[in-house]
Amino acid sequence: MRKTFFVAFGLLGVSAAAADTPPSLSGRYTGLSEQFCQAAIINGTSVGGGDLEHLLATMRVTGTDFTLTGTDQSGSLATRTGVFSRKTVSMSGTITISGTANPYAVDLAGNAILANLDRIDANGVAHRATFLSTFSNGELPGTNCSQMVTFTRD
Amino acid sequence: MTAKTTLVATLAALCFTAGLAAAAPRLAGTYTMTTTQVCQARGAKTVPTARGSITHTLATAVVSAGKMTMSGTTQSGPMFDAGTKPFARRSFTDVQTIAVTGTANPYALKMTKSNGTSKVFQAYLDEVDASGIAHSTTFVFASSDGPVANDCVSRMSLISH
Repeated sequence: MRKTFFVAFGLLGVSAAAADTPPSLSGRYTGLSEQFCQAAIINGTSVGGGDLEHLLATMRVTGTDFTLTGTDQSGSLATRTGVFSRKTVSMSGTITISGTANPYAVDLAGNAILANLDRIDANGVAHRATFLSTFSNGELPGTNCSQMVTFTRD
Repeated sequence: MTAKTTLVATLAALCFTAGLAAAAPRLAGTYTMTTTQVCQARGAKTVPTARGSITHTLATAVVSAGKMTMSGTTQSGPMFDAGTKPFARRSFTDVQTIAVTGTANPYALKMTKSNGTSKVFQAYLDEVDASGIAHSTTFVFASSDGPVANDCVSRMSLISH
């Protein structure tokens, strides 16, 4: 009986450890990103600029390494002559996930991201991830850009 | 089986099928909620008097017994800015009652706040399981954040955990 108790205690320990381990991202995902950056007003005059950007990409994650390649179409939020244009983009680096529940903290190549990780399989791999972040593109001081990305495992 | 029995059974089956077809899918369980809202800037060509806004939201929504409890993070800022109002984050919690009506996509989803005000979304309910629960939904609606009607457009999606 005493042995059984210890086995049960051990199982509880394993369960607790599993609950504290954040899900992982692994394999190939389709990513869809939406990004806005504020247009600038300087000395009381709108100088335009800003950014509206959509990205369709494939992200592969192996361990803590990721590579992302895709097509980005972007253009200024306010413009007289600019148009939306497409370009191929790529990015790679290290991805780490921390936390115990949604929203998790994700470090994607040094970028701090708030993330919901869902549809977790038996191996702890998230099949759906949503990233939320703010950052600066240099046009204005502070976090003048807002980005949301969804990843769906292929 | 007699002809009468067959007819009754067939009619019953047809009624049951029709009943299932007419029932709108429902939302239940835990979802990740994302929203995007864009509100127009308005005014002069050189300097907009209303600077518009952009909002992204990431939240967890729990639906039970016709109530949706949402808690998460929203980040928003003006579309035009002089460098004084960057995108700012805030946490939020909200509880609203929900009701889905209609017979096919797009359904009408009514969300009602505790103060009685409500919004009706055009909703696409997908990945419906055998019990009628939708696991993937997308809503769109227009709204106003100022004196002009429909100067904002929003899109919201719910993906079950």
